[in-house]
Amino acid sequence: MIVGCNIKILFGLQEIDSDNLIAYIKDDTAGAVVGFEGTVRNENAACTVRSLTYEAYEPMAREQIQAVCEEAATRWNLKKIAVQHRLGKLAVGDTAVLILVSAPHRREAFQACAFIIDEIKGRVPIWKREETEKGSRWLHEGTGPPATGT
Amino acid sequence: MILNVLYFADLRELVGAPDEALECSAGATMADAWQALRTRHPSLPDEQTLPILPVLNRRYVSWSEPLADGAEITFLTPVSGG
Repeated sequence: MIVGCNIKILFGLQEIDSDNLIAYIKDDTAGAVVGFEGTVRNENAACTVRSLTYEAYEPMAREQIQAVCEEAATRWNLKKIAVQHRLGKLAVGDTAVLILVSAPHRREAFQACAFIIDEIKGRVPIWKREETEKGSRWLHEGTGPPATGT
Repeated sequence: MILNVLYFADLRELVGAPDEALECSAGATMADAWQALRTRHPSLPDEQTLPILPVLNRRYVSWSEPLADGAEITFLTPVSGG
């Protein structure tokens, strides 16, 4: 727990139970709950996407997500953070990642939620293989860790 | 010294295995290990083809980071979670 912020991270093959996470994230001291849900889109780069298969360096990915959440909790006044990221093969429409943040006020909740998904996409060791009607390929979108090398 | 090398995503597919052992001489760095692996597996990309990020014991490090016996190392392609 960082300065009064509880952090919950779920990671793996299991489906995302958004009702359970929403129940977790609510807090009587929070006036705002903000969420981001990343879903599998049916198109990318003018190709029809059939599925995405996620793979991770799991121990490091957990530690990196925890570090991202702790950084958010030091930058903004947050009450709770919940992050769940799925692995394995997902179909179009499936939820790949859910991020929920509760805070006393909406602005900090919005900013923290955007920060967390941006950092996850940038540096957490998770990859997705895209399968389309033209074949499959690994996607490489991340910008890497901060220049400090942490 | 003996290092445990892990591979993920496209590098795992290029090598054809999720992990392997690598023997390096004392004083070797992450850059030395990567060069040894590229010699062993010519299909591994050079850094001009695909950015590669060195990782030592689950932490991003620089290419000049020295290695120790028993270390777990990996070389990551740009991530794409979310």
